Amino acid sequence: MREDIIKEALRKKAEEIEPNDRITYKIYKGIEKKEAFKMKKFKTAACVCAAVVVLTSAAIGAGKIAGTSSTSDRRQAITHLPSESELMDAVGYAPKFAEELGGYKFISAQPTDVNDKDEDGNITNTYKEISFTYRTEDGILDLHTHLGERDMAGGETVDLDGIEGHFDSFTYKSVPPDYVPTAEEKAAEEAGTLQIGYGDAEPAEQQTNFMSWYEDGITYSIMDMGCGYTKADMEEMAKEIINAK
Amino acid sequence: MKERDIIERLKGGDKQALGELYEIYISSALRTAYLITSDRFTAEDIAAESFIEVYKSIGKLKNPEAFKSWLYKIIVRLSWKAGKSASRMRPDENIISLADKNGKGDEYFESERYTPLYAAIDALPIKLKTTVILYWFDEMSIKEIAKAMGCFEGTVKSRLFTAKKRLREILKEEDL
Repeated sequence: MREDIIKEALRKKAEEIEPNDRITYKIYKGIEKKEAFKMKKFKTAACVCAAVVVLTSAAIGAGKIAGTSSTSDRRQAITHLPSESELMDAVGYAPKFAEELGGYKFISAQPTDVNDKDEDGNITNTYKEISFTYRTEDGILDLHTHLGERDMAGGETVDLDGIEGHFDSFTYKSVPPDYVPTAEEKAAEEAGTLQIGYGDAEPAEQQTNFMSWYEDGITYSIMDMGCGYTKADMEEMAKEIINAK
Repeated sequence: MKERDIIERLKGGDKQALGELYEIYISSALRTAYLITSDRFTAEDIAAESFIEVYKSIGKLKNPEAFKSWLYKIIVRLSWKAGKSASRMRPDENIISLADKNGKGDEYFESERYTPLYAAIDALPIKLKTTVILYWFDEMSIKEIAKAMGCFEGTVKSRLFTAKKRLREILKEEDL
């Protein structure tokens, strides 16, 4: 009897499933110990996720991922403070969030469907994320969450009550589709201090700050676009979320 | 670092050691649960629950050398338990076999070539099927399987013999 055929049949079937962040999250929830279970696996590329309906980020590859695309339906936005079970139903995990962030009130939580893609544009992974938006006078203040650990390399490392945080800051410049960046802007893009978004009718610039950290199986990222927060402000906001129940 | 040392660290309260055991075993643990239950979400739950149980019960493991059998014992027990409740909702496994014979079940499997054989393995009684998976997929020894399934080594040999006999007929039919 050819036993190698049995082995091959089982191997082929087994390859239909891969370890993923849902499993690590369930373990985190099961053991409820922050310090336990730090792993290196399942890291994906970090992306800038603004509060837009459709967002496609360029290749910022980590592993086999060449890019991500995400879609969200505003009809699925949760406009009241969601319970843990509502979050679990919506995206399969329950991140921490606060009723107020930096003194601004919660407006809504937006679930998003995300696809990781390889260099040929094939979808390699599909999952859900959720972002919490807070009402501000003239900017955007978002708490973005991702199930699993994202690569947060770069920026400045800060201590968030014992959790390693990463602060990053750059200028976001929206420009018309036919805009040609100057040599100076290209250099700033290379240096990571400028990001250009094509598609707006009139050029506009906004200072954008990020504070990111990884806690209990979830990557959190607070994004301030145009609100003018300092690094110290962002640290305090991150701690508000970390210490939220 | 040797696995024994990682287990000793976990027993001594070093919680990082759980992550190291996870990296070693998660892939095979998850896939074993998937092969036994044939349901990916159930398999994910079982894999997660298994590591939670490892974390909570590692103090009960007297011999670190027996960790693999101990972990698989947990996986097998949870898979069988899940299988019992899932079988009430799942379609009869023979339906898949029949569908395959009629050429309508191909979408369930990655490779048509192995479809009839895998369907035959999947249709085996749960204890035979588990023995086949632990022996041929996880490449565990008879002794390790006996520990993981909580039975005598002779019982494992007998189950392998019976499973081979049934599968041999399929292999002949399909010219594999």
